[in-house]
Amino acid sequence: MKLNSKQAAVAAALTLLAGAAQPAWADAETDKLKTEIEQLKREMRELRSVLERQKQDTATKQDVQEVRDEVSQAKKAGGSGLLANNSLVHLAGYGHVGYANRRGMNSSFGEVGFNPIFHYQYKDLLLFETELEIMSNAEGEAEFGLEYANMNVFANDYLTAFGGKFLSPIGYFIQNLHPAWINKFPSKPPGFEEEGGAVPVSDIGAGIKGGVPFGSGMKANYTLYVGNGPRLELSGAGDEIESIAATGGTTNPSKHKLVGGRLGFLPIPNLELGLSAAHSRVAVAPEGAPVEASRNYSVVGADFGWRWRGLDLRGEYMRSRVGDLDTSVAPLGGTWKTHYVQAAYRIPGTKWEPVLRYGKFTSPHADQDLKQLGLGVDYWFESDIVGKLAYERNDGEPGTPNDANRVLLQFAFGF
Amino acid sequence: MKTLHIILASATTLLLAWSSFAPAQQPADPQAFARGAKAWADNCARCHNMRDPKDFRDDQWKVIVSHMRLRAGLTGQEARDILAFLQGSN
Ligand code: HEC
Repeated sequence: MKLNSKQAAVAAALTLLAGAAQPAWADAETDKLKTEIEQLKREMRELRSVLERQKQDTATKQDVQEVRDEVSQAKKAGGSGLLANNSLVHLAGYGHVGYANRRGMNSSFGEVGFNPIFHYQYKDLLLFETELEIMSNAEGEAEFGLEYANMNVFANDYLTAFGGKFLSPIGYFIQNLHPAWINKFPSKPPGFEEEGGAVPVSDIGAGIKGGVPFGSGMKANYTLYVGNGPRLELSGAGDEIESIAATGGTTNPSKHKLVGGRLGFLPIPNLELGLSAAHSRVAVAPEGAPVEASRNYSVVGADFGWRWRGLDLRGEYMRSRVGDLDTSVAPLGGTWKTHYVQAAYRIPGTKWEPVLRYGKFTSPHADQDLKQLGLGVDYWFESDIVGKLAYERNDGEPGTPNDANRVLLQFAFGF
Repeated sequence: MKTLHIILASATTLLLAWSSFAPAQQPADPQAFARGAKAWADNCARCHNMRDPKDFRDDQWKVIVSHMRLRAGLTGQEARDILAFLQGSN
């Protein structure tokens, strides 16, 4: 729209009028605006300070990266990267179920057990190891056993000090081959059982052990220890020594300590030859009577193990001797001895491993004697899961269980 | 004079014993893996089947190798090498 001259004149007059009238109401308006502006300014200041504070509290990406770098540096300084944790707790162990059919006697699922192993390690310095044995017995109850519980201090590369309850370092089978997923035969060799055998099973005490290089490519290992040693079991009639109680107890009636050890020698890798010996004094403790005078106890052993490709050959000889004592209720001592040899061969490219074992245990009591030829086959589902089927031809005193042959079936796993 | 000698000697012995106690902080050893592979082959199938390195995590192998150092009579160096091999192959 275009303004004509009349309209323009009216507009100019109005503008002039408005300009002249302003002072009448402008003061109040300006004051109101001023306070509003002041208010806004205050709010702005407050907002700004809140923002500043927020900026200080929140980390930037750069800050986060800096912290990350510090952490990874600290980790590296903490020891070769392997030692992210100073303390490690670990669970291992094994379980087994077995079925036995003894000729002329009953057959049963006579064996079920679970052995958890607990480890606690502190840096590269300390290792506690504890193995429990939980077995089911004939009455359907659970039996608990403490196989071992000991502390090991890695003093240096060649020496470890240990103390507590440990598997006997005498011989080889007990310490190194007894777990069901390792033993290639479903049963233990004759004379290697926990009760009434010819070998020390465990002890409570302390000692040192380690490995040392020995010339070019050869190696040796050693164990030397002091323990409470074995005790004696009297026969029912109380006039004979029935057996040597070979699992470590917290006391020994004779109050003597056993000193023993084993030396292992590896002329080439995977061939180990070992010699062991221990000596102590033992005493008969008849029920309700004072402990008798002490008498000699000694055990000597020799072992070998050789692994070559799929072939695993091993054997062990062990002899425990208790001295005579004229003044005792059981004057005669005696010799409990055993030996076994075993060959196993893992058929290449298969999961099958046939096993052949021969063993002979002799004791002062004819009814304990056992000569055994065992033949078996293992099927390895995994390197630590095995099914075993075996036949034992047993030759003992006629009429005793030791004289009856057995068929054995066992399933075992380790983890 | 004699007592001083004795004191000095025992202090040195204690110190030496202590220093051998503290696990040495080796710098990463590039040969450890190769030595470990051989030590593993030479030692770890003597008593039971060879276990696959993949069967366990690094922290599990750490404890297992300490456990096996006791069983197999390994030196500290062999144990560290075998651990380096197992942790590098799992
Ligand atoms: C002298 C015999 C022997 C040698 C050699 C040996 N082991 Fe063992 N190993 C055992 C026994 C015995 C057990 C069962 C645990 C027990 O009874 O204390 C076992 C258990 C294990 C287990 C199961 C987890 C555990 O801690 O019990 C693994 C894994 C293992 N060994 C790996 C190895 C490796 C790797 C080596 C080589 C460094 C090795 N073993 C060398 C005897 C041996």
